[in-house]
Amino acid sequence: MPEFKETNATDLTEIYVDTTPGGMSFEIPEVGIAEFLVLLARSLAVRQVRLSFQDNGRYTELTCTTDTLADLLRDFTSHLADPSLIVEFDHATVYTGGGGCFSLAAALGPEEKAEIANTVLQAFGVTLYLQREPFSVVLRDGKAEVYT
Amino acid sequence: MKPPVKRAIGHFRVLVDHALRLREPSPEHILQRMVMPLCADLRQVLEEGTRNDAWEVLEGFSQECQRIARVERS
Repeated sequence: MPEFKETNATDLTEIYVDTTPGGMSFEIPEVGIAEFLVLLARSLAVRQVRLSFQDNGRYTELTCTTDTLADLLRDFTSHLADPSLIVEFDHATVYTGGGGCFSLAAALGPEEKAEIANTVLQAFGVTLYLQREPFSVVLRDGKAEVYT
Repeated sequence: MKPPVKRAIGHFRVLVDHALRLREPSPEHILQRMVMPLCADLRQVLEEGTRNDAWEVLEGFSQECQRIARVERS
């Protein structure tokens, strides 16, 4: 049975954060994708970020640092929900099926996964302290369902 | 690794991740966010790629299968 917790989250659609073998997976509302990717880059303490996507059939690749990622994403907002987007960090890769559905491939320990999940959830107005894996969190209608 | 190859493996990974979730995603989500992008990648590899690209896709899929096998054993 999931554990229900009241949150102060406002205007949330559904958000999912899961641990997976070899990474994590996420469902993020489209309006929050840029913020999510910046948070991920900061949490992973990466130096360089490489974004690639298809634009009208043409393959486009861009590189930046974590510090300049937010500015870069602002210029390419329309591609952030595209299934062709791939975001490569120093030692991690983010794949997406589009529409905010992400899979993070990275060698992370349970503590690191919990820290990333807590950071992402906090950005959407929810404070949870996840400490072990596997876990699965669903934010829906201002409530967090936690499966462990 | 060419972009369509990398994307195909990535979309297969997204599909595998959903299969391992503690809750079931909707059929529409699976179709729209995983199966259809993967079909587009495979079509692109077949139409524009080489035999080696196709082989790399299979190798990438196989690595993802090994990830599932590790979960099943644990």
